[in-house]
Amino acid sequence: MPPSPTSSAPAFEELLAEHLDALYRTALRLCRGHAADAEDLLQDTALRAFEAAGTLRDPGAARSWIFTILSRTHLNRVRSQRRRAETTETELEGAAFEEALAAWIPAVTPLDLLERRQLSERIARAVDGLPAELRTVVVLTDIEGFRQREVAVMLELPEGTIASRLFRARLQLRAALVPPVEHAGQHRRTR
Amino acid sequence: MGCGQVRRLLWPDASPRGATPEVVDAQAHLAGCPDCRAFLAEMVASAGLLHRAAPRGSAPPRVRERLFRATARARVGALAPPRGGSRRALAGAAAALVLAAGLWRTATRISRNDPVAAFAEDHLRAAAGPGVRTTEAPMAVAWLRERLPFAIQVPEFPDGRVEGARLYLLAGRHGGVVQYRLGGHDLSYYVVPTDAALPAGAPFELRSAVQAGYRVVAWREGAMVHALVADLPEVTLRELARICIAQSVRAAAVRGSGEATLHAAVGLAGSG
Repeated sequence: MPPSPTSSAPAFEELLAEHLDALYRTALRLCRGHAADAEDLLQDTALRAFEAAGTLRDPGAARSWIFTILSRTHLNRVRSQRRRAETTETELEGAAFEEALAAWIPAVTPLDLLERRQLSERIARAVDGLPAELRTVVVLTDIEGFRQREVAVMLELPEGTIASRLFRARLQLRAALVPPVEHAGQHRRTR
Repeated sequence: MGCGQVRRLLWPDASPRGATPEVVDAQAHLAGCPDCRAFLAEMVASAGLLHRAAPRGSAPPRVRERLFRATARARVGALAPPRGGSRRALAGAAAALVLAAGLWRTATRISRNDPVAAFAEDHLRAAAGPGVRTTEAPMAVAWLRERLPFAIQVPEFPDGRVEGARLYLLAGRHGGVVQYRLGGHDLSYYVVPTDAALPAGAPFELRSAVQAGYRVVAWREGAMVHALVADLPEVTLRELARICIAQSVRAAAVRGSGEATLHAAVGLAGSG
């Protein structure tokens, strides 16, 4: 239910203004850096949030609430563009997740390498290259700092799925960022 | 207990875990397993790296304008705002800007209880943002350039230090303000679109006034009004204004557009 036009009129706009910068950069990242798409996404988000403003009971949860609307709106748009339901073939659950976790070993010095090379742009490109479901989780947790359980609530997924998506995203980011010669042979089974 | 199970159980940033026998075993495994310790360290470091590498820019003013315009229209139940299609959206945003400017000009005819006036005022205020604090003139220039459709030459004053920059709203239009500290006084340098203010006058003609204890010296320059505001004597502000004009016109001449203007400007400012 939208807020009344005559009562506490600026409240929603104040909330939007407070989080706008973070929403914009998140939208930009979710849309792989395409500003026009990000602005469309942001407008959809603002209007949906406005329509749902009456459901926000706890002002302290406003940030999480509006990011939930942003991320769900984004994923709905992606799914709509695909014209099919979200695939589940990329999920790693239970034993498969543990197996994948066990296969991870430390790269030689990946983070040192990364930090030395002014990698902001490369990282942005690598994040842009992730599938939408993984990119959304990475942007919300690693970049915007939401906790995994918050993101699980936002996306209506089990927390374990968020963890496995984060892990798979980091695998893909590592593959995209670490040169092949340093990356080769680093994915093996441990104990 | 295998490494995979340990890593899942101790996955960073998961919800708080109880000290179950499984978790206790996992912690024991971790203490003796450098691979698992390295794994957890890398997960944490990866998150930190992504967080640090992410750009921290602000939403451009046109985005703020578009969103606040859209929500204001939704609030007053106007036509449904455009969704999707960037070209249509941009056209809508452009129309919104024109309408917003008109709305602002007629604001005095709108009751203060009318939410339309409140929304327009609020979204324009939000679009202006808090500004940037910097002592680096190039940073102030860059900050303003990102937010305004025109360039602002940030003048250098003897004994003056740039303190920051911000946006300014006048009759619904954005201008730029550069803030200085000069000889123990705060000095503001305004550049705003010319049709929004100031009676017509000759280009570079200096006009002076006192308001609320502050001296204002203003002049027109091309399509802009420039002004200096400070609690300084008029003679000092006029001298600073001439410095502004000289630097601005020299910069224009360097860009190849103003040798003739340079001579005219120096003459007019000198006589103003």
